Parts: sequence; structure tokens; C-alpha cells
Amino acid sequence: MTRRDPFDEIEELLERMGREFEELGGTLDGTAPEVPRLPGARDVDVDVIEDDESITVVADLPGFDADDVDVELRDDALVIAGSREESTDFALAGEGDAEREDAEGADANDGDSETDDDVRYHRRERRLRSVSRRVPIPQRVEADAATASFDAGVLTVTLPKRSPDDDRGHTIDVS
Amino acid sequence: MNTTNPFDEIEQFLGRSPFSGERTWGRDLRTADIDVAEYDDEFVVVADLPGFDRDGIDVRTDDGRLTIAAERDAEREDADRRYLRRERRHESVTRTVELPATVRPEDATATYRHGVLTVAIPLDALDTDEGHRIDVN
Repeated sequence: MTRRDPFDEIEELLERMGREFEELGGTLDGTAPEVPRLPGARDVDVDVIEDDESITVVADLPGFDADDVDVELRDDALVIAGSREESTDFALAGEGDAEREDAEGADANDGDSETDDDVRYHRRERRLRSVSRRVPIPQRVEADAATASFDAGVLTVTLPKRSPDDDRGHTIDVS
Repeated sequence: MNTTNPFDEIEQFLGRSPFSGERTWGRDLRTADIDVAEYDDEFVVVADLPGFDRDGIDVRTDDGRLTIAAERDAEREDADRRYLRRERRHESVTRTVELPATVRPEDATATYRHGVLTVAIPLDALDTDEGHRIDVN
């Protein structure tokens, strides 16, 4: 079989630790400042861009279908999740990718077990499992007016900022 | 067969950018994550290239190497548009893979779907070249 690069293993370990930190951070949400994350611990790479009207979150989710992607605005964070079958089989991700649309499910699995025996992996860097990411949103936004699009493995979520007036509660004139 | 050019790696490590933020934990923002698998009759490279157009992706074989290059328009940043986080890979990424000697690049196929590029290159069976066998009567 393939010889594993020891650095891959270390990176994997760090990644796992980072995920646990992040999960912990999620449960403490609101009561503690954001738990620091280990570098490289992220599942999903994101850009967060702010302009006058909105905050835009752009997330890389290569290999996912729009149907596999879940976006939720929870308190002051955007939670992005991409789910797929936990299969780490290369053939499914690689060759199967093109066929998956036609031959979803059982057919694809049959082919995999056959090719499994005589394949040699030179590199395996891609993440083939389900992923998730919690992105803190630093400002109050209009959740109802949020829009999302998904194209070529990239998710774009636009969150219009809440106008400052809405935040201030009711002002009482002093006469 | 399995090795990449060590100088490529050093070059990648040193980087060309003045910003340390260009690299995050062993991850070069100017390359793509790939899987490389060799089957009996096929060599398959799968690359994550989220957010590109088919037209922006260039795949070529040359001198026993496969080179994948992808480019998209740079996203603008100005006074009205600030990045609060910037983790995604660059607008231009390249990746090179050494190919086995038995590949038939002229029969290669490439597909791009959901931000993933799959390149499949057929391999010649090794034993067809083993010379002519003469039966002993």
C-alpha cells in the first residue's frame, strides 16, 4: 500500500485538535471570547469582506453539490456545513465524480471495491469528508435579507448590515 | 516516480511574496490540493480548484510532467471594501505532477465539475513491450 508521509499525520492530528477546540468554542458561544484556533485547523477556507452595505462571506467547498451545502445564521456567526457520504474512497471522488450524477449510489460502490486493490496513491491531499465552519460575523446583519449562491464549488453569502437606527431601541425625546 | 522536484518544494517554501501571510501552516496559497492515483491502466489526478471557469483552467503535459494552471479575475479591494478574513487561495494557482513513463498523454481527458478538476491519462501496459517470445518446439 502507500507509504504515509509522517508530516501528513502530524497535520492531521493538529487538524483534529483544532476541530475539537472549535467545537468547544461553539458550545461556549456568547460566554467567552472566541477560542483561539490552531493554524491549519480549518475545514473550509473563507474570505470575509465588508463594505458599506453588507458583509460577504465567500467559502471554498470544492466537490460539493448545492444540495449538500447548509448555511445558517446562528446568533452572531454564520455556520457553513458541507455534507457527503463519509466515503474516503478515491475512486468515488475522482473517477466517480463525473459519473455520480448518472449512477448515484449502488452502482458507484460496486466499481470502487474492484479498483481498490490495484490502485497506488501518490498523493492524497484533498479532503473527502464532510466539513463545517463557523464564521463569526462582527456586526449586526439583517438575517431575513441574507442571500446565498453556490457556483463552481464556491459559496457566497451576502448579509446586509442592519442600519444603525434599528439597533438603538426606542428613543424618547426630551422636552 | 513518486518524487517531486525538491527544488520546486524549496521554491514554494521560500515563496515569492513578501507577506508571511501568504502561507498558512504548510499550505501554499499558490497551489492546489491534489490527489494522485495510479491504476493499472490509468493515471488520475484530481485537483480542488474552487471558483474557476473552464476557460480559466489550463492543463498540459510536457516532458513527463502534468501542469495544471488556473486563473480567475482578481477580486478588488479598495477603501470601501475591506477583507476581515482572507484564507482562500489566490486568483492564480499552479501545480505540477511527475508522470510515469508509460502514460499516453494524447489520450488524456479532463473534466471540471463543482470546482474539482479530474485529469485521467491512460497508461500503456508494461508487459506489451517485453519483446517477442519464441516458442520452443
